[in-house]
Formats: sequence, structure tokens, C-alpha cells
Amino acid sequence: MQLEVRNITKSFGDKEVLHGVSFTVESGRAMGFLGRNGAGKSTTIRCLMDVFKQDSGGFYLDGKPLQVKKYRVGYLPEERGMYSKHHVLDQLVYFARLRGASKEDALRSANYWVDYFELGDFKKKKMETLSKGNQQKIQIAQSFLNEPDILILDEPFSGLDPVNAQVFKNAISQFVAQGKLVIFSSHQMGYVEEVCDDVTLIHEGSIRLTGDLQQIKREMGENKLQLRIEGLEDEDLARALQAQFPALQTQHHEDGLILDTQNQVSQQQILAFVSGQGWTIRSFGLYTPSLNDIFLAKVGEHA
Amino acid sequence: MLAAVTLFAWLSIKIYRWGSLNYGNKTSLRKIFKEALRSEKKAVA
Amino acid sequence: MRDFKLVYNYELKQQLAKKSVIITTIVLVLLALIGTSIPRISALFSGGEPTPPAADTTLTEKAGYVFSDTALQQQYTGILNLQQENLYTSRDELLAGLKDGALKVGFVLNADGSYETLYQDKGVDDRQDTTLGQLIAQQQKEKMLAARGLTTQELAAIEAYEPAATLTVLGKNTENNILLSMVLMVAVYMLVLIYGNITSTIIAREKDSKAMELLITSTKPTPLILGKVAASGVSGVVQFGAIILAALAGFFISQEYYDPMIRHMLMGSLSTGYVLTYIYFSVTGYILYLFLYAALGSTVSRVEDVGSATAIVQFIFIAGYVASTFVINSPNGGVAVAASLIPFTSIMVMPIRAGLVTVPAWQLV
Repeated sequence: MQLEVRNITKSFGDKEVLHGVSFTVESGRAMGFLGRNGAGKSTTIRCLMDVFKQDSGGFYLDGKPLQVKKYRVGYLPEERGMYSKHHVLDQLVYFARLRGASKEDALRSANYWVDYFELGDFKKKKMETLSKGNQQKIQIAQSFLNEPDILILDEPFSGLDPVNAQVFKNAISQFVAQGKLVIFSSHQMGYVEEVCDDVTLIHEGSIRLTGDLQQIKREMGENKLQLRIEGLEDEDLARALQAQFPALQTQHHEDGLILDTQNQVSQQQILAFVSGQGWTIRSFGLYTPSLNDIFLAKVGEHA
Repeated sequence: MLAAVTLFAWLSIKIYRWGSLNYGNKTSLRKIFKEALRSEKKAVA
Repeated sequence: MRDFKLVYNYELKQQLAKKSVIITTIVLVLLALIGTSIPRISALFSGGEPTPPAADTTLTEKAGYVFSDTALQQQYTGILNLQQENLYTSRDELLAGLKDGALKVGFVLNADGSYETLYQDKGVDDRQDTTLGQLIAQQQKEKMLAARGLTTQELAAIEAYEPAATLTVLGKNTENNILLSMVLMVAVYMLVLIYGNITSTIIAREKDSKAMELLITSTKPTPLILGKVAASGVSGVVQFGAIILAALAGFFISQEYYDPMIRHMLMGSLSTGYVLTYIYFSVTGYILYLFLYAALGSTVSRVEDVGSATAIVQFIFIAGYVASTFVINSPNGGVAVAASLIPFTSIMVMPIRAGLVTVPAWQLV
């Protein structure tokens, strides 16, 4: 399956919040949808889920206009909420059945996922009696009901402790391995990097970056090296290197100085210079930007 | 009476759909009718 | 249809299974049953040997009398069973007795039927003067009738004469149906106000708790709103129905203990036509208002704002209630006819009109 988001624009009153948003998502690959607060992630997702109608553009699944209610879609909204005074299992079954499941399938699925998240003792309890974290897990369980073909999760890691985050990541990996189409938005770069194959970065309603994460890392790390010298501050190292190699551009990073060779300086030249100075290398190698680095590079500069 | 009930059922569905996501915004009867009854543009590729 | 049934069943189960609803219904059912059985219960307690009425001491306890002549004194001593301490020889003695507290009231009676009542202080409950006045009037009347050769019983028989009368009503009898119509109108009023507010609160709570987004992405708004309105409507009818059935049961069990006039008014002329008109207008009007309340509930984000959003509907509804009071006095007047044709007010007005007068068929649609 391939989901195509094509040229979505959306305004609220006089303010246009989405300016021609376009990207694609493949099944069997998790897509991380990243952006700052207010960038337009949730609006895009809500347009996709037909909560809002976009002003122009469309969503296509395998080339045909997407009709969300005709597919098994698991949706976790950013603004969490279920019935606080209803029993956990009852409302999970209700939501599952509203999405087309039979009573037996809904019950089986609800029981499975509640047990998966180790909340079996709370099946007959009212939602409001659960802690916030457990309510989160139930919300996530709700999005997993009925073995959805498409999973759309808005900030799924929000409110989860590391143990539960790992449980959730395992579940996502299962869905991806089963060839499902998974999109989720998050600010937690570490988790996204672990789970996602593709990323799309949105900033102020426009897409800044989209594609395979490893490919993006390679492209952004092309011609770049990372160097750390024992006992030498990065500023001093940068000064010394730039004096020797004027074409070299440097950038500070917590893991070591980043060197952009501009294809004019080779690794050997740099190594020879460092040896000549008698410095002890602590780390040296190709620079692979983290997702956090990519995010900051693409979005932070526009702040 | 039946006609009135049908009309108001239709109206309330429209208002419900529009009002259901109007989180936290103050609204007036005029705005409700204007927004809820406005036909929505179909998305164009 | 499937989604409508799902929403309806779920919402109905959640509403009827609430502890507060169950307890309230049971309490109100019991109150209705007991309330309508009060005539029977009070009859049970008043059964057994009747206790003799206590002797009336209004005119003898701490009362003093002065009579203009001995014959008058003897007459009233026999009637009132006066003792020696009640008899005084002069008005001045009465005044002295009143001043020193030996007497509460003093009377001076004359042979011509006139009398004077004396109090030191007269309280709101002190009615000795009028009581004695009635006694004296009765005595004087008997005397006057005797002078004309009649007794008081003969006079009473003459006054009790009533001609034989036959009443034929071709349409509705306002007197018979008015009480029943009012009771049914109040029932509808309570039903709409209570369950309308419950419906709008349920919907506002979904927005408040953010469950709304899950719902509208799971199914279309049509089955959602139809299901919720249907569930609220049915749970209201179930709860109210239970209370009304309990009240009817209590009435039918105890009907022989009711005042015949009240029984006649409550039974009224419950024709099939009237019952059908009542049901049609009550049900359609109830549904109409539930949809309105639901729509308004979806315009607010917090449960606390429901009251202000639904105020306008309540205002319209109360206007209907007020219009219905005009109908009672003038069922075919301009206000009554107009109010029974406007959907928002006809729920209250038309059933009453239909119970009081014959309504043309075209107005009933």
C-alpha cells in the first residue's frame, strides 16, 4: 500500500496553516512525522482522518482517493480522551465495533491488547480510576484494535515511561513487520530514530524534508567528518584546522567537531596534520547526523 | 410536526458535526448556522 | 443502521445502568405509589371505634354571662350548660373579672337577641363573639319560625329543593378533562427539561473528555446523533413511564378512597382520539427538543457551559408552557390556535386543546 498526501492546504479563518503539504508513506515502513509545536502535524493528520476538510489537495491510497471509513484505520488523536465514567473493556469493544468489527472480534481484540499492555485487572474498572499513564496505554490499545491496516498515531510516546515506551515500540515493530502502514508524529527523536524507516519534517505548514531516514543521514553527512582530540578544546582545534585548511568548515557538536571538507580536503590530509601536531585522537570518522541534528539543522535555523 | 422533527434532526446533525471540533472557541447562534450549513468544498487534487 | 443500533444500544445501556438513575427511579416510583395511595393509607389509620368528640368549652371556659332577665338566663344555662362561676349579676362585675384575669371573655345578653361581648385582650384565635352570635341567631330563628307555625327542619327541607336536571355534551367537557390535561402537560414539561439537559450534557462531556474525536473518526455523525437522541429519549420514557405506571397503579388500587369528584376528573373522558393526540404531540415534540438540545450541547466545549447554551431552548419551552395556561381559558382563541400550530409550543398546547375542545383535523398534522 502507498499513501500519498498531495498538496494539502488548510486555513483557519484568515490564517493558512498548511501550504501545499505533500509526502508519501509506504506500508511495511514506519514513517516519523516530525515538526515543532504548531508546525501543522496534527492538522495534517486530522485532515487525513477527515476530522477537518482541507481547502485543497487530497489523500490517495494506491492512486485512489482515500476514504478513511472504508479501511481499518487505527487512530490515536493528540488530544486524548475516552469516556471517563465508562468501563475500560466496554468502551474498547464499542469503538472496535463502530469501526466495523463483529462483537466476537471486537471482544477478542480488546482483551488481547489490554492484556498485552498488562492492564488485565482494569478491564471492568472505570477509565477515571486508572492512572494517567495507564489511561494512555488504553488509548493506544484502542488504536490497535481490529488489526488495522493503517495506523495513525499523534504523539504516541507522550506520557509513557521508558518501559512502556519499549512495549509500545515492540508493538509498532510488529505492525511494520506485518506490512501495515504506520505514521506517527513525535518530538522524541530518540524513539523515532529507533523505530522509523522514513521521516517527514514539517515546519510552519511546509514540508522541509521527506524520505528514507538512512538516506537522509548519508546525504546530510556527505563530505563530513567528526573529530575529537584528547586534551584539546573544540574551539582551539577548529582554529588550528581552519588555519591549515581554509576551505574546511567546522561546526560544533556535543560528540566532537564536525568538519565539512567541501570535497577539497581529504581524510588523509587531516590525519596527517593531526599526527604532525602530535595530538592524540579520541575519535575520528564519518559524521552521521542524528535525527535530532537533522531536525535542528532544518528547523532550528528558521526559528 | 413530523416535517419539523425531520428538519431539526438534519439541522442538529450539521451543527453537531461542525460543533464537535470547535474546541474552546466562543461561538454565537449566527456563526453556528453560517458555518454548519455552509456546504464544504470537495478536495481537489 | 448498524452504527445507529450500536450507538443506541451502548448509550442506552450506559444511561440506564447508572447507579444514580436506578436509585432515583426506584425512589420516585415508591414515592408515586405511596403518594397516590395516601387516601387508602389515611382510611386505614382512621378505622376502628370513633372517639367521642371532646366537649366544646369555647363559650364556657373562663366566660362570664349577664342576662337581662331570669327566663333568658334559664334558657341559655340549659343550652350552654353554664355553671355558677359563669353567672354574673352586672356588667361592672364582668369588667372587674376581666381585669383581674378571672375571666377571658364576658357576655351581656338581652331579651331582644342583642348582645355585647367583652374582652380584656382579643387574640386572632378568639372567636367566642361570633360563636355566641351564631347560637343566638339560631335560637332567634327557631323562635320566629315557631311564631309562624314552622320548625327549622321544615325550613331546611324547603331550602334543599333542587330541580331534576339532565346534561348532554356533544364535544369535550372542559370540567372533566382539565385536571387530566394539566397533569399530562406537567409530565411532558418535566420529561423534556430533564432529558433535554441530560442529552446536551452527554454530548458536551464527550467534547470535554476529548472522546469526540475518536467517535467522529469511527463513524458518521448521523448515526451518532440519532443513536444518542434515541437512547436519551427511550431512557427518559422508561424512567418516567415507571413513575407514571406506579402512580396509576396506586390510583387504581386506592380509587374507592378518592373523593368521587376528583376520581371523575382524573378518569375524565379518556377517548382513544385524545390519547393518540397526546402521544403523537408529546413524542414528536419530545424528539424535536432532544435534537435541539443535542445540537446545542455540541457547540460548547465544557459541561459547565451547557446551561448557557441551552438557555434559549428552555426559554422557548417555557413560553409554550405559559401559552398552555391561556388555552385553558380560551381553547379556540388566537393565542391557543397559533401556539398549537408552532412545532415548539404545540407539544404543550395541542394536547390540552385536544382535551378541552374538538380540534379540526388539519390542525392535528
